[in-house]
Amino acid sequence: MISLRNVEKHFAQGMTKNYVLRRIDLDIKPGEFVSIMGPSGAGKSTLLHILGMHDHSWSGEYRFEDVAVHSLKPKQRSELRNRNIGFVFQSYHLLDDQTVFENLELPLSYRDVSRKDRQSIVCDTLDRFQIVGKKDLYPTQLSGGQQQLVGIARAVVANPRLILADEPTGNLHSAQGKEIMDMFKRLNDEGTTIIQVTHSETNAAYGNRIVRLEDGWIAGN
Amino acid sequence: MTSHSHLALARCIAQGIVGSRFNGFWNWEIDRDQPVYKVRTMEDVRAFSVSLYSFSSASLGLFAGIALLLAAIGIYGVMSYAVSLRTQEIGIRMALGARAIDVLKLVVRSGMALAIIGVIVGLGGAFAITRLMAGLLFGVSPTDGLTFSLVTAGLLLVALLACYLPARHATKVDPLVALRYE
Repeated sequence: MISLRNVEKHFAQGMTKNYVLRRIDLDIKPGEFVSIMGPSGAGKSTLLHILGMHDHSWSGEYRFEDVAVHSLKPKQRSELRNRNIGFVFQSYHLLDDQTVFENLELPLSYRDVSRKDRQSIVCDTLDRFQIVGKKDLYPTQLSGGQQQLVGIARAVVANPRLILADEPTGNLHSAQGKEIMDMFKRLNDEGTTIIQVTHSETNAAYGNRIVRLEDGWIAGN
Repeated sequence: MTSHSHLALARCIAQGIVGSRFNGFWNWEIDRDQPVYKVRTMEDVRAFSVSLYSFSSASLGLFAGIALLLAAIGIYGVMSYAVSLRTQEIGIRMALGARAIDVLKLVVRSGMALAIIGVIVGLGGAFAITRLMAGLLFGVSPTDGLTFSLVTAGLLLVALLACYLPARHATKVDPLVALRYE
């Protein structure tokens, strides 16, 4: 599904290059649940945003389902991302002035889905995540765990094949974190490929593979 | 007309004052020594009579132009500030799939919503107050439909331009930076 070859990213600092990622070679198959681990500043989130096609300033080769991402223009990358990838953020990043229903509708509104279909898909997703009763509430009226549940629901609402999660339980206490990880496990069992960045060995144990980064290099795979 | 040509005109008028002989005496219908002064053309007389109105009209036009410029600067300022406050939201929307055109529409729509409310309030005020200006108007009624339509269209166009620049700026938001924005 994903193939990275010699991917590098650096920031120029005067005459020197400060590397964030070095010679990253990585293959991820469909249906895998991969955890990217490593100390702070190792390049985990940077790698995740390159995989998620948010970050365009890197070198090397990136193939997604045989599409050469490195050759695509930013607009084409956005289209590829919209069709295939969903995101879950550590800080949830829900829109506070929109209800749960509207937050779930958001990704669909950017994918040329008709209003009628959007409402039907959002209702199905609310049902699937058992948050129908919360649909008219605003994010600030929800607990952290509930907000992250909505965040995951928003990530899957457009039926992506890959979910990228950046420390999804980082702001939650352990019981809420377990609930969220159980949800990821269930999605993975249903066939969705998941890549998460985490510091937690417990959360990493939900996956079937760990990629360890240190100072921008892959230290274990 | 110059003062020189006014003088020539006065001289012509003075020469035009003629008398008739009667019993060996000139009989002047008008005193021949009567000074001819304050000679003005009809155009000057008309211009002088409407000068106060012309000045009022020019002043109103100038103030209206300044008000329009201030409104445009105000809308631009408010929209720029609103965009800076919404940087994170815009970044999240882009991360979720929003294209540049979607962001452009989002910002312009919110700006134009404010502008339309302003225009409606302004039109109501204008409808009520222009009656007081009826004495300054000539050939147009205080509630002239065409004038109101053109002014509305002009104001909305200015508002659209004032919203467009911050909206274009919003499309350049980098989702990566915005997602780290706290």
